[in-house]
Amino acid sequence: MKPRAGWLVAGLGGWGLLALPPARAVLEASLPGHMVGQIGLLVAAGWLLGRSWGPVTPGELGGWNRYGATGLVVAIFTLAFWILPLSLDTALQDPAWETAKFLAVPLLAGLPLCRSWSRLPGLARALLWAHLIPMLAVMGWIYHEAPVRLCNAYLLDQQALLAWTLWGIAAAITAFWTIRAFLGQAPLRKTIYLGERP
Amino acid sequence: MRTLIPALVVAALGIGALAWATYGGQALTAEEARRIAVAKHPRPVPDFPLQTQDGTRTRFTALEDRLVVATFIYTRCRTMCPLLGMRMARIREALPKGTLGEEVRLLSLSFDPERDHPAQLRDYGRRYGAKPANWWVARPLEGLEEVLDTFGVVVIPTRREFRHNGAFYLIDRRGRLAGIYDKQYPERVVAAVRARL
Repeated sequence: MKPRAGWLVAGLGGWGLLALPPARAVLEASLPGHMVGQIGLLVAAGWLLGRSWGPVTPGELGGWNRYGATGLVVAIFTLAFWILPLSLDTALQDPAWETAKFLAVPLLAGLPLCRSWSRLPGLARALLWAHLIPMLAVMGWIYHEAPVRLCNAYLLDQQALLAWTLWGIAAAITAFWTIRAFLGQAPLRKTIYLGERP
Repeated sequence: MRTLIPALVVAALGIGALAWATYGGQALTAEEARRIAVAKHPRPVPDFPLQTQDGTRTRFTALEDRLVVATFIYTRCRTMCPLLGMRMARIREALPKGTLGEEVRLLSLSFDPERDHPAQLRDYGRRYGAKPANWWVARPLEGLEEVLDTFGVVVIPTRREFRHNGAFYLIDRRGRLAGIYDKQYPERVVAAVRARL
Protein backbone atom coordinates (compact mmCIF):
# COMPACT_ATOMS: atom_id res chain seq x y z
CA MET A 1 0.00 0.00 0.00
CA LYS A 2 1.35 3.45 -0.92
CA PRO A 3 2.02 5.73 2.05
CA ARG A 4 -0.71 8.18 1.01
CA ALA A 5 -3.30 5.40 0.74
CA GLY A 6 -2.13 4.15 4.13
CA TRP A 7 -2.77 7.54 5.76
CA LEU A 8 -6.16 7.73 4.02
CA VAL A 9 -7.19 4.29 5.24
CA ALA A 10 -5.97 5.09 8.75
CA GLY A 11 -7.83 8.42 8.78
CA LEU A 12 -11.08 7.10 7.38
CA GLY A 13 -10.83 3.93 9.48
CA GLY A 14 -10.28 5.88 12.68
CA TRP A 15 -13.08 8.26 11.81
CA GLY A 16 -15.44 5.33 11.08
CA LEU A 17 -14.47 3.50 14.27
CA LEU A 18 -15.13 6.58 16.39
CA ALA A 19 -18.57 6.92 14.81
CA LEU A 20 -19.58 3.36 15.78
CA PRO A 21 -22.23 3.37 18.53
CA PRO A 22 -20.13 1.34 21.04
CA ALA A 23 -17.16 3.72 20.65
CA ARG A 24 -19.43 6.72 20.98
CA ALA A 25 -21.12 5.23 24.03
CA VAL A 26 -17.80 4.55 25.77
CA LEU A 27 -16.23 7.93 25.02
CA GLU A 28 -19.36 9.98 25.62
CA ALA A 29 -20.08 8.27 28.94
CA SER A 30 -17.70 10.64 30.70
CA LEU A 31 -16.92 14.32 30.29
CA PRO A 32 -13.14 13.82 29.87
CA GLY A 33 -13.86 10.96 27.45
CA HIS A 34 -16.10 13.22 25.40
CA MET A 35 -14.15 16.47 25.42
CA VAL A 36 -10.59 15.18 25.49
CA GLY A 37 -10.90 11.61 24.23
CA GLN A 38 -13.43 11.76 21.43
CA ILE A 39 -12.68 15.26 20.19
CA GLY A 40 -8.94 14.63 20.43
CA LEU A 41 -9.26 11.39 18.45
CA LEU A 42 -11.47 13.08 15.84
CA VAL A 43 -8.76 15.71 15.42
CA ALA A 44 -6.23 12.90 15.03
CA ALA A 45 -8.41 11.20 12.37
CA GLY A 46 -8.59 14.50 10.48
CA TRP A 47 -4.81 14.89 10.82
CA LEU A 48 -4.30 11.43 9.27
CA LEU A 49 -6.59 12.41 6.40
CA GLY A 50 -4.47 15.50 5.96
CA ARG A 51 -1.33 13.36 5.74
CA SER A 52 -2.90 11.40 2.88
CA TRP A 53 -2.85 14.59 0.83
CA GLY A 54 0.93 14.25 0.49
CA PRO A 55 3.76 16.47 1.66
CA VAL A 56 2.86 20.03 2.66
CA THR A 57 4.08 22.44 0.00
CA PRO A 58 4.47 26.22 0.35
CA GLY A 59 2.31 26.95 -2.67
CA GLU A 60 -0.65 24.68 -1.93
CA LEU A 61 -4.14 26.20 -1.96
CA GLY A 62 -2.73 28.93 -4.19
CA GLY A 63 -1.23 30.79 -1.26
CA TRP A 64 -4.51 31.16 0.65
CA ASN A 65 -2.95 29.34 3.56
CA ARG A 66 0.44 31.05 3.62
CA TYR A 67 2.26 30.46 6.91
CA GLY A 68 -0.66 28.17 7.79
CA ALA A 69 -2.57 31.15 9.20
CA THR A 70 -5.96 30.48 7.61
CA GLY A 71 -5.91 26.78 8.47
CA LEU A 72 -4.93 27.53 12.05
CA VAL A 73 -7.78 30.04 12.46
CA VAL A 74 -10.29 27.50 11.07
CA ALA A 75 -9.02 24.84 13.49
CA ILE A 76 -9.02 27.14 16.53
CA PHE A 77 -12.59 28.33 15.97
CA THR A 78 -13.81 24.81 15.24
CA LEU A 79 -12.30 23.49 18.47
CA ALA A 80 -13.51 26.50 20.45
CA PHE A 81 -17.03 25.80 19.22
CA TRP A 82 -17.05 22.07 19.93
CA ILE A 83 -15.55 22.17 23.41
CA LEU A 84 -18.22 24.54 24.68
CA PRO A 85 -20.34 22.82 27.37
CA LEU A 86 -23.34 23.88 25.29
CA SER A 87 -22.07 22.02 22.20
CA LEU A 88 -21.12 18.88 24.14
CA ASP A 89 -24.55 18.72 25.79
CA THR A 90 -26.50 19.45 22.62
CA ALA A 91 -24.53 16.85 20.64
CA LEU A 92 -25.73 14.22 23.11
CA GLN A 93 -29.35 15.23 22.71
CA ASP A 94 -29.61 16.22 19.06
CA PRO A 95 -28.42 13.81 16.31
CA ALA A 96 -27.94 16.76 13.91
CA TRP A 97 -25.39 18.33 16.30
CA GLU A 98 -23.70 14.97 16.82
CA THR A 99 -23.37 14.55 13.03
CA ALA A 100 -22.09 18.11 12.68
CA LYS A 101 -19.47 17.42 15.37
CA PHE A 102 -18.30 14.25 13.61
CA LEU A 103 -17.95 16.15 10.33
CA ALA A 104 -16.57 19.44 11.61
CA VAL A 105 -13.88 18.29 14.04
CA PRO A 106 -11.92 16.06 11.61
CA LEU A 107 -12.48 18.19 8.51
CA LEU A 108 -12.27 21.69 10.00
CA ALA A 109 -9.84 21.08 12.88
CA GLY A 110 -7.68 17.98 12.30
CA LEU A 111 -7.19 18.28 8.56
CA PRO A 112 -6.39 22.03 8.45
CA LEU A 113 -4.08 21.64 11.45
CA CYS A 114 -2.15 18.95 9.58
CA ARG A 115 -1.83 21.10 6.46
CA SER A 116 -0.97 24.23 8.43
CA TRP A 117 1.14 23.23 11.41
CA SER A 118 4.39 22.66 9.54
CA ARG A 119 3.89 25.90 7.61
CA LEU A 120 3.56 27.98 10.76
CA PRO A 121 6.65 29.99 11.63
CA GLY A 122 8.54 28.37 14.48
CA LEU A 123 7.88 31.33 16.72
CA ALA A 124 4.13 30.96 16.17
CA ARG A 125 4.32 27.27 17.04
CA ALA A 126 6.32 28.04 20.16
CA LEU A 127 3.74 30.67 21.17
CA LEU A 128 0.89 28.21 20.62
CA TRP A 129 2.54 25.58 22.80
CA ALA A 130 3.29 28.19 25.44
CA HIS A 131 -0.29 29.46 25.31
CA LEU A 132 -1.80 25.98 25.45
CA ILE A 133 -0.33 25.20 28.88
CA PRO A 134 -1.92 28.09 30.86
CA MET A 135 -5.12 27.74 28.82
CA LEU A 136 -5.49 24.09 29.83
CA ALA A 137 -4.71 25.00 33.42
CA VAL A 138 -7.33 27.77 33.48
CA MET A 139 -9.94 25.58 31.80
CA GLY A 140 -9.26 22.90 34.39
CA TRP A 141 -9.61 25.44 37.17
CA ILE A 142 -12.95 26.69 35.76
CA TYR A 143 -14.34 23.14 35.60
CA HIS A 144 -12.95 22.29 39.02
CA GLU A 145 -14.35 25.36 40.78
CA ALA A 146 -17.72 25.64 38.99
CA PRO A 147 -20.37 25.25 41.72
CA VAL A 148 -22.98 24.09 39.21
CA ARG A 149 -23.05 21.47 36.52
CA LEU A 150 -21.88 23.04 33.27
CA CYS A 151 -23.19 20.11 31.25
CA ASN A 152 -26.63 18.72 32.05
CA ALA A 153 -25.54 15.31 30.84
CA TYR A 154 -22.62 14.98 33.27
CA LEU A 155 -22.39 15.11 37.03
CA LEU A 156 -20.18 17.41 39.09
CA ASP A 157 -17.62 14.68 39.74
CA GLN A 158 -17.09 14.46 35.99
CA GLN A 159 -16.13 18.13 35.95
CA ALA A 160 -13.49 17.47 38.61
CA LEU A 161 -12.24 14.50 36.59
CA LEU A 162 -12.03 16.69 33.49
CA ALA A 163 -10.13 19.32 35.45
CA TRP A 164 -7.52 16.77 36.54
CA THR A 165 -7.31 15.42 32.98
CA LEU A 166 -6.65 18.92 31.61
CA TRP A 167 -4.11 19.61 34.35
CA GLY A 168 -2.44 16.28 33.56
CA ILE A 169 -2.14 17.20 29.89
CA ALA A 170 -0.77 20.64 30.79
CA ALA A 171 1.78 19.02 33.12
CA ALA A 172 2.77 16.47 30.44
CA ILE A 173 3.30 19.19 27.83
CA THR A 174 5.31 21.26 30.32
CA ALA A 175 7.43 18.26 31.24
CA PHE A 176 7.99 17.36 27.59
CA TRP A 177 9.20 20.82 26.61
CA THR A 178 11.24 21.27 29.78
CA ILE A 179 13.04 17.98 29.26
CA ARG A 180 13.50 18.75 25.59
CA ALA A 181 14.86 22.22 26.35
CA PHE A 182 17.47 20.89 28.76
CA LEU A 183 18.27 17.50 27.29
CA GLY A 184 17.11 17.71 23.67
CA GLN A 185 19.43 17.76 20.70
CA ALA A 186 17.77 20.43 18.57
CA PRO A 187 19.14 23.94 19.08
CA LEU A 188 16.43 26.60 19.10
CA ARG A 189 17.68 28.39 16.01
CA LYS A 190 16.95 25.28 13.99
CA THR A 191 13.30 25.20 14.90
CA ILE A 192 12.41 28.86 15.23
CA TYR A 193 12.35 30.85 12.05
CA LEU A 194 9.96 33.43 10.77
CA GLY A 195 9.78 32.73 7.06
CA GLU A 196 8.10 30.09 4.91
CA ARG A 197 9.41 26.60 5.53
CA PRO A 198 12.08 25.85 2.90
CA MET B 1 -3.04 40.21 1.65
CA ARG B 2 -3.83 36.90 0.02
CA THR B 3 -3.57 35.15 3.35
CA LEU B 4 -4.87 37.95 5.51
CA ILE B 5 -8.24 38.20 3.76
CA PRO B 6 -9.21 34.49 4.02
CA ALA B 7 -7.90 34.37 7.60
CA LEU B 8 -10.06 37.38 8.51
CA VAL B 9 -13.08 35.94 6.68
CA VAL B 10 -12.66 32.63 8.50
CA ALA B 11 -12.25 34.45 11.83
CA ALA B 12 -15.43 36.46 11.15
CA LEU B 13 -17.31 33.26 10.30
CA GLY B 14 -15.95 31.63 13.45
CA ILE B 15 -17.02 34.54 15.63
CA GLY B 16 -20.42 34.48 13.90
CA ALA B 17 -20.84 30.75 14.57
CA LEU B 18 -19.87 31.15 18.23
CA ALA B 19 -22.18 34.14 18.63
CA TRP B 20 -25.05 32.23 16.99
CA ALA B 21 -24.62 29.14 19.17
CA THR B 22 -24.19 31.10 22.40
CA TYR B 23 -26.93 33.68 21.78
CA GLY B 24 -24.39 36.45 21.44
CA GLY B 25 -22.18 35.14 24.21
CA GLN B 26 -25.03 34.96 26.75
CA ALA B 27 -25.14 31.17 26.99
CA LEU B 28 -22.13 28.89 27.30
CA THR B 29 -24.12 25.98 28.72
CA ALA B 30 -27.12 24.12 27.35
CA GLU B 31 -29.07 25.14 30.47
CA GLU B 32 -28.60 28.86 29.76
CA ALA B 33 -29.28 28.36 26.06
CA ARG B 34 -32.63 26.63 26.58
CA ARG B 35 -33.76 29.41 28.93
CA ILE B 36 -33.06 32.03 26.30
CA ALA B 37 -34.57 29.90 23.51
CA VAL B 38 -37.80 29.33 25.43
CA ALA B 39 -38.14 33.02 26.35
CA LYS B 40 -37.77 33.95 22.67
CA HIS B 41 -39.88 31.16 21.24
CA PRO B 42 -42.39 29.60 23.66
CA ARG B 43 -42.89 25.95 22.83
CA PRO B 44 -46.14 23.95 23.12
CA VAL B 45 -46.21 21.39 25.90
CA PRO B 46 -47.59 18.07 24.62
CA ASP B 47 -50.72 16.89 26.40
CA PHE B 48 -50.28 13.86 28.64
CA PRO B 49 -52.34 11.99 31.23
CA LEU B 50 -51.35 12.48 34.84
CA GLN B 51 -52.43 11.50 38.34
CA THR B 52 -52.49 13.98 41.18
CA GLN B 53 -51.76 13.50 44.88
CA ASP B 54 -55.41 12.76 45.69
CA GLY B 55 -55.48 9.97 43.10
CA THR B 56 -57.45 11.92 40.49
CA ARG B 57 -56.61 10.97 36.92
CA THR B 58 -56.68 13.95 34.60
CA ARG B 59 -54.77 15.48 31.71
CA PHE B 60 -52.31 18.31 31.41
CA THR B 61 -54.73 20.25 29.20
CA ALA B 62 -57.05 20.56 32.22
CA LEU B 63 -54.70 23.39 33.28
CA GLU B 64 -55.21 25.40 30.11
CA ASP B 65 -56.38 29.01 30.34
CA ARG B 66 -54.34 29.41 33.51
CA LEU B 67 -50.73 30.28 34.14
CA VAL B 68 -48.88 27.30 35.54
CA VAL B 69 -45.67 27.38 37.55
CA ALA B 70 -44.14 23.92 37.27
CA THR B 71 -41.13 22.09 38.57
CA PHE B 72 -39.79 18.54 38.30
CA ILE B 73 -39.14 16.39 41.33
CA TYR B 74 -38.97 12.86 42.70
CA THR B 75 -40.26 12.36 46.20
CA ARG B 76 -37.35 10.30 47.63
CA CYS B 77 -34.97 13.16 46.80
CA ARG B 78 -33.29 14.66 49.87
CA THR B 79 -31.43 17.53 48.29
CA MET B 80 -32.81 19.61 45.45
CA CYS B 81 -36.48 18.53 45.49
CA PRO B 82 -37.22 19.61 49.10
CA LEU B 83 -35.62 22.93 48.17
CA LEU B 84 -37.85 23.19 45.10
CA GLY B 85 -40.87 22.39 47.30
CA MET B 86 -39.96 25.09 49.83
CA ARG B 87 -39.37 27.67 47.13
CA MET B 88 -42.60 26.72 45.37
CA ALA B 89 -44.33 27.42 48.69
CA ARG B 90 -42.61 30.82 48.77
CA ILE B 91 -43.87 31.52 45.25
CA ARG B 92 -47.40 30.60 46.41
CA GLU B 93 -47.18 33.03 49.32
CA ALA B 94 -45.87 35.84 47.11
CA LEU B 95 -48.58 35.61 44.45
CA PRO B 96 -51.19 38.39 44.42
CA LYS B 97 -54.21 37.55 46.56
CA GLY B 98 -57.00 35.75 44.83
CA THR B 99 -54.97 34.63 41.87
CA LEU B 100 -53.94 31.19 43.16
CA GLY B 101 -56.21 28.47 41.88
CA GLU B 102 -58.19 30.74 39.60
CA GLU B 103 -55.52 32.32 37.45
CA VAL B 104 -52.39 30.54 38.57
CA ARG B 105 -51.80 26.88 39.33
CA LEU B 106 -48.72 25.20 40.71
CA LEU B 107 -47.47 21.85 39.49
CA SER B 108 -44.75 19.62 40.93
CA LEU B 109 -44.33 16.82 38.44
CA SER B 110 -42.54 13.61 39.36
CA PHE B 111 -40.16 12.08 36.84
CA ASP B 112 -40.17 8.85 38.84
CA PRO B 113 -43.77 7.69 38.25
CA GLU B 114 -42.91 4.05 38.95
CA ARG B 115 -42.18 4.79 42.59
CA ASP B 116 -44.12 8.00 43.14
CA HIS B 117 -47.69 6.83 43.68
CA PRO B 118 -50.40 9.16 45.04
CA ALA B 119 -49.41 8.29 48.63
CA GLN B 120 -45.83 9.46 48.09
CA LEU B 121 -47.00 12.50 46.14
CA ARG B 122 -49.44 13.38 48.92
CA ASP B 123 -46.71 13.05 51.51
CA TYR B 124 -44.37 15.33 49.51
CA GLY B 125 -47.17 17.87 49.01
CA ARG B 126 -48.16 17.85 52.67
CA ARG B 127 -44.67 19.00 53.66
CA TYR B 128 -45.21 22.24 51.77
CA GLY B 129 -48.94 22.66 52.28
CA ALA B 130 -49.84 21.76 48.69
CA LYS B 131 -53.59 21.55 48.17
CA PRO B 132 -54.88 19.72 45.08
CA ALA B 133 -57.21 22.66 44.32
CA ASN B 134 -54.27 24.90 43.42
CA TRP B 135 -51.05 22.88 43.64
CA TRP B 136 -50.89 19.56 41.94
CA VAL B 137 -48.18 17.16 42.99
CA ALA B 138 -48.56 14.70 40.16
CA ARG B 139 -47.00 11.89 38.18
CA PRO B 140 -47.32 11.49 34.42
CA LEU B 141 -49.03 8.26 33.45
CA GLU B 142 -47.65 8.33 29.91
CA GLY B 143 -45.31 10.37 27.72
CA LEU B 144 -42.69 11.15 30.38
CA GLU B 145 -39.78 11.21 27.91
CA GLU B 146 -41.55 13.64 25.60
CA VAL B 147 -42.41 15.92 28.52
CA LEU B 148 -38.82 15.89 29.81
CA ASP B 149 -37.55 16.66 26.29
CA THR B 150 -39.96 19.57 25.91
CA PHE B 151 -38.87 21.08 29.22
CA GLY B 152 -35.20 20.22 28.63
CA VAL B 153 -34.99 18.26 31.87
CA VAL B 154 -32.08 15.82 31.97
CA VAL B 155 -32.36 13.06 34.56
CA ILE B 156 -29.34 10.87 35.27
CA PRO B 157 -29.98 7.81 37.45
CA THR B 158 -27.22 7.20 39.98
CA ARG B 159 -26.94 4.23 42.33
CA ARG B 160 -29.98 4.99 44.47
CA GLU B 161 -31.06 8.43 43.37
CA PHE B 162 -31.32 10.74 40.40
CA ARG B 163 -29.33 13.79 39.38
CA HIS B 164 -31.38 16.36 37.52
CA ASN B 165 -31.36 20.00 36.53
CA GLY B 166 -33.77 21.96 38.68
CA ALA B 167 -35.63 25.09 37.66
CA PHE B 168 -39.05 26.72 37.71
CA TYR B 169 -41.05 26.62 34.49
CA LEU B 170 -43.77 29.05 33.51
CA ILE B 171 -46.48 27.74 31.19
CA ASP B 172 -48.67 30.38 29.59
CA ARG B 173 -52.45 30.31 29.16
CA ARG B 174 -52.08 28.66 25.76
CA GLY B 175 -50.26 25.71 27.28
CA ARG B 176 -46.84 26.79 26.02
CA LEU B 177 -43.60 26.67 27.95
CA ALA B 178 -42.84 30.39 28.06
CA GLY B 179 -40.15 30.82 30.69
CA ILE B 180 -37.48 28.91 32.61
CA TYR B 181 -36.19 30.46 35.83
CA ASP B 182 -33.27 29.69 38.07
CA LYS B 183 -34.30 27.76 41.16
CA GLN B 184 -32.28 30.19 43.28
CA TYR B 185 -34.56 33.10 42.42
CA PRO B 186 -38.23 32.25 43.00
CA GLU B 187 -38.99 36.00 43.11
CA ARG B 188 -38.23 36.15 39.38
CA VAL B 189 -40.97 33.60 38.75
CA VAL B 190 -43.38 35.69 40.79
CA ALA B 191 -42.43 38.79 38.79
CA ALA B 192 -42.97 36.91 35.52
CA VAL B 193 -46.38 35.70 36.71
CA ARG B 194 -47.40 39.21 37.84
CA ALA B 195 -46.40 40.59 34.43
CA ARG B 196 -48.82 38.19 32.78
CA LEU B 197 -51.80 38.64 35.07
